[in-house]
Amino acid sequence: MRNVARVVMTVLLMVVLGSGFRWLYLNRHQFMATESALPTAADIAPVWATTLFDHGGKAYPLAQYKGKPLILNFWATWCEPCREEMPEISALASAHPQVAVLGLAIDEAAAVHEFIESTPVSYPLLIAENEGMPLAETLGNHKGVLPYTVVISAQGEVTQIFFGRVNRQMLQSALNL
Amino acid sequence: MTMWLRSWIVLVALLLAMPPVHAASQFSKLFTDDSSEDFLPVDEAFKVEAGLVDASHAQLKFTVAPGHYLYRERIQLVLPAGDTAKITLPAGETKNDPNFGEQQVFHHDTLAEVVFTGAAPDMLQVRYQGCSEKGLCYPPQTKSLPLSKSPSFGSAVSSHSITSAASDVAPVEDEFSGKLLSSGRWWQIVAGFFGAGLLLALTPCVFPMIPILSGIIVGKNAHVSRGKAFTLSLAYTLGMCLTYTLAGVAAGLSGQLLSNALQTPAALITGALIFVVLSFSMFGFYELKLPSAVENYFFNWSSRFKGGHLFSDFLMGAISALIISPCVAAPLAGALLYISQTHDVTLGAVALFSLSLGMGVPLLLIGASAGTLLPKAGEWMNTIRRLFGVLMLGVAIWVISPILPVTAQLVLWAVLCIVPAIYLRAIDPLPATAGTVQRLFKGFAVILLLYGIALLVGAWSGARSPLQPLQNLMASSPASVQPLAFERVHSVQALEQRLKAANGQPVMLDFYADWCVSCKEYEQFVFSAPAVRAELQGVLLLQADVTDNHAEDAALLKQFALFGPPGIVFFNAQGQAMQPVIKGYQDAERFVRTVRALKLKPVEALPHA
Repeated sequence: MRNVARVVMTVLLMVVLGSGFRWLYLNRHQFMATESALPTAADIAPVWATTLFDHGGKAYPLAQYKGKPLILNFWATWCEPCREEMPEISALASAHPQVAVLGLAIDEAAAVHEFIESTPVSYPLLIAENEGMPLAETLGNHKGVLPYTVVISAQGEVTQIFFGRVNRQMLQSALNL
Repeated sequence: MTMWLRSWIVLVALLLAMPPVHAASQFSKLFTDDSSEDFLPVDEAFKVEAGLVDASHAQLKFTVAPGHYLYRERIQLVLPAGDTAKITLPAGETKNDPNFGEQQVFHHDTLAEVVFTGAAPDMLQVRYQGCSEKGLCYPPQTKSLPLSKSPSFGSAVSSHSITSAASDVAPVEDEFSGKLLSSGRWWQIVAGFFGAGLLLALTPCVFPMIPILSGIIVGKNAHVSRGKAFTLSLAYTLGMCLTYTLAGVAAGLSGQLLSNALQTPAALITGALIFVVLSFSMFGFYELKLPSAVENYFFNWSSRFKGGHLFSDFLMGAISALIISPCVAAPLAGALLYISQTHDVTLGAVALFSLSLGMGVPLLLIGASAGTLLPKAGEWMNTIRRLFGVLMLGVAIWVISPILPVTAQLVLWAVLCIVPAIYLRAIDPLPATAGTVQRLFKGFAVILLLYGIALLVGAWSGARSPLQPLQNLMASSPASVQPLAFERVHSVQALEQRLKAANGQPVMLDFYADWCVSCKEYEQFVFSAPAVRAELQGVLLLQADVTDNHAEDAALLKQFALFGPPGIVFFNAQGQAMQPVIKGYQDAERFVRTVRALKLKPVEALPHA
């Protein structure tokens, strides 16, 4: 009798423990901080080969920003949090001319043009309607969200990435300003 | 033996650790603004399914995760092109966007109707874009959806439309529970369930567990140390928690199925009756429990295990939970129903775990006191029991309220307030020597009685909400205003004829039904307002009375993707229906704004020019 009970209990224990661990495993992302790995310098090599244009058609080869601290802000006119953060980025760009700031719009040139008319910013806004999201992914935006902001050091290393809305404080501390 | 002990400590620790870890991780999110770690990938934030309704008609179901929203305007069909397929979306909620002005968004699951000219294609391509309330957006998504008649989707859709047609209250409730969840206040839910569990622990429901537990603790050895007794009762409580947690998981998994099935009138009536039956058992009219043979069997079986084994205690806890579950069935059913609406397995598990932990608190106390702290049974226990009975009757009324006329609801609520108030001695005189508690109860009882009377008065005077029973007595009656002169239309053909005959005049079509509360509110508050009348000057007014819900009425409703009244459609001078279609109640101010935004009339010369 006791032996039977022991066997039954062992089986039950294994089932319960097993399902518990399975549940833990399936939900592991909720327990473990998903520390997003930063892309390496090699990962982002294609970025430097990209050339983008502003709404007026002026070419901006990104290679010209190599060797300078660089903030890349991916945004779109239809993205409200993106528009909210832009005045702060703009203020930072005018306060620190040694930092290059680029806004990459996942948008049509016309929409960006209209936006600049009403809300001028102090840094170039480039049109990246089609190439923007793949570029953002190269730079570590695996979840494909906007706004997405990348801070690249003068040495060409991605030092910080931000999913969602940023503020001036966050960017300044990322650049040690 | 020590190996056994060790493995059980691991299990107990595991069970104990999981939900709190999760709760803690949710908890910390409340206070940190760092949203970067916990946003959803786009395909989890928004899901879209397509299903064919008939040969030339499909439905798209957008599932929006709590805390996210889709822009109505940005939901578009890519394939097939616009001239062979037309997509109709319900009106969204208004969101004020500083740049684009007012935007219509969907915070909740949404059904879109797609009508094809000709046969439906095999493939549908839809484009949509949305954002998260956490301050980030997702780029536009384009999804290709195969169109096949999937039975599960079809049935889900049809049951959904039945639900919405059955009452205009249901969507509001859906919205409410959605809002509670999207607010992400896990700890509120957890605390609420824990509190409910504590209350349940005070009912005699937990009583059958106490002899079992004390039997376990004391067992054959008369003296146990306090620590050991506590450990044993903890194992017992956790066993009980396991059963309830599993029930919560099952409820979470059943998802919409359960809540959809539970919203048909038949199910609502059955549910209400169950609550009534259970509440009567709370009043002691009869006892609800498992057949005593079964109960005795378990009791004898448990005594076979020698007391003092963690595992047998755990198992006994799990089984005892089953024994007492008929007693706590009513609150349990309510909790499970609530969870099934959230479609959230984790939440279900955590909520039921906290509920059962709350129920287990007295057991833990007994354990901690090594059996010296057994509460004395007394009248107070029965009071708690009756309180639960009243609460259950309240739940019963709440459950059937969507299918009851408001007057009947008010009468029922009145009865539920007045009768317990009398039992609380609201109108018995207080003796001069009455103590504080007695006086407190009397005060409370008088309030309850007065509210009950107000509800009765409201029922007689035609009030429309239990929360404002006296509104009709307060408001000056706007009887002097003539009702708007609506012309009745009865079918799609009649509507088309009337639209043609309108000759460049804009047209308003109002869907009305006798049983539709909001329609009457429209009549009483909106269509009587001077601003609304001014706005509707020169507009041809049509009304479709869908009280009887004939096939023709249904066809009319369907044409505008409406589930039921109230619904107001405007047509421009060319006789085309304009978006948005007004669904649900809008007060006069909002109604005027909506009508103005439609720009029905050509811009008129300014009056002073």
